[in-house]
This record gives sequence, C-alpha cells and structure tokens, in this order.
Amino acid sequence: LALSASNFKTVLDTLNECGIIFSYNGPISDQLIGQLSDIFRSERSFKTKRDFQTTAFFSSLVEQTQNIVRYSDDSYQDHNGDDIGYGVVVVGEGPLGLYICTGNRVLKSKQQKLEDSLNQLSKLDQKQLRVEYREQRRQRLDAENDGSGLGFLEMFRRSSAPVEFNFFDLDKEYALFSLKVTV
Amino acid sequence: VDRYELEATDKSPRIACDFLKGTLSISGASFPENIHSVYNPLLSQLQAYDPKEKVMSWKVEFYLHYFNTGSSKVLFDLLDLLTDWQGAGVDVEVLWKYDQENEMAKEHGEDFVEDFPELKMTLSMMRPKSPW
Repeated sequence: LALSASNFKTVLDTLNECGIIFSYNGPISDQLIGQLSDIFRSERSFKTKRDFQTTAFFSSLVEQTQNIVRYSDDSYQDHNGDDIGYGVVVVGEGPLGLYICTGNRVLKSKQQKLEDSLNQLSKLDQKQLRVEYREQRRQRLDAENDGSGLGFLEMFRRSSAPVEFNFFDLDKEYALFSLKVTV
Repeated sequence: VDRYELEATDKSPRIACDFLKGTLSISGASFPENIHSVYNPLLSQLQAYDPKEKVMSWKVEFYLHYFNTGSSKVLFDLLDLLTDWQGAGVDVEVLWKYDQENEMAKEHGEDFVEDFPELKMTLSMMRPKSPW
C-alpha cells in the first residue's frame, strides 16, 4: 500500500487515533537526540495539555533513543566515525499520559537475553529498581555488562505505567524490538 | 594547569575546577553528544593531581537539573576518586544541590550519599521549581 495524496487522510486518522504527536523513522545519532530534545523542550504548541517539560519525559526520550544508537543491530558509523542506529521514535498521548515508543531491529540470537532481562525488570517495584540502578552503576563495565542495563532501569523508573515491550519476527535473522514507556 | 573550565551548553554542564583553591563545581544539564570529550579532560587532570602536594581541603559542588545514565556513571567515578582523596587524608566537602520539584536529582543525591558513606556529602534544596 503506497501513500498517496488521496489516502493521506487514512494515514492521518491512524496517527490521530493512536494519539501520535511526533514520529520519526530513520537513522538516529547522538546529534539527532540533541535535536529531538530541543524540539520537545522548546515546542509548546503541540495540541496537548500534557507537560513535555518533565525530567521523566526527557529522561525516557534520551535513554530510549540512546539505546538505539548504541545497541541497535541495524547500525553503522558515518564518515565522522559517529555511531548511527536505525530506529523508530514515536511520541504520543494516551489515556495514561504521554508515551514514547521506540523500535529497532535486533538479532534474534540476542532476543532471549534481552527479553529475560526486561521481564526481570518488570517484576521489580520502584524501590527495587532504585536499588538495582545503584548496584549496576557501581559495577564496572565489562563484556557481559555493556551498559544498556542502566538505560533500561532508568526507563522503568520513570514510567508511570508498566513498560511494554514486544519482539516481532521479521525474518530468519532479525526481530523488531519495540518498547513503550508512559510518563 | 591551575584551572579547568568548560562553559555550559544546553546539553552539557558548566564545569569549573580550581586546583589551587581546591574547588570544583559541575552544574546544568548533562547529556552530551560525546560524554568523553566533556568529562575526560577533567577526570584525567584530577587523576594526575596529587592534592597532598597542593591543597588539603576541597569543596565540591554539584547542581545538575538533569543527567543521563552515562553521565551518572561518570559522576560515580568522580565521587569514587574524591573518596580516595578523603581516604588519603584530604578534607573533601561535597554539596549536592537540587530543586524542590526535581525528585530525580534529589534521589540521585540521596543514593550517592549512601554509596559513599566515607564522603562528607550534604544535600541542599534550592529553588522550588526546576527549569525542566
């Protein structure tokens, strides 16, 4: 199905039904994260009364997108040597508040480990998440602990509703990993 | 080098370190595009510096509205280094400032106090409302 000027309304309706305020699908770099943060820090004319100027929103946006830059399995380095990860960033408004949903491809060989650690985090309450964050910050990085853990912990801490995640089979090698944080 | 200073941007903090007076201040926001370029010059100078040869009393101040998890690890390393100084007989005083409504900054301050019990670290509430 190709987008045309005549079926654009259908696409727009879908966006509006999902409460989507902003969406991006493409290469993500640290520079782009800075630009995204600028948009949400300065833009006050989105058609929502929700507050973008909270550390919870900001922190989740930064950590979710940084995880794509660092850990997407759909990545390369540009001519400056900067890391680029392909991914999707969607910001919207749902009944429970603002949400940030991100998606990127992951190798299926890594899926189980990622899924296990996210399931583990889902079981923790706020107090336990805080303790776990301190524990992981204390540990020095090594091959086993690549640093993504702290980012996920931060998202779980800032989310006001349960963090949602899903793995969708794309082909033999890859799955689409999606993650939704509500603030 | 007697001083190290870095001006703030909206993504990286203002850093001011005076090696003769024994003062260090880090304030603003911290989620820089390249975290190493922001903190490594400071960290390597602090690591190379022997306070016993110069200043035996240091005042360190943090006033960060927001920082990402990468910066949070750097702050941990920095406090770890200050704890080593403290253990070596240097008098280190750390002030952690936060705004009233900034629960995140407050919690981080409390956690760092618990993580570094040897360090003299005080939390101080500033403005009622955080800029973010």
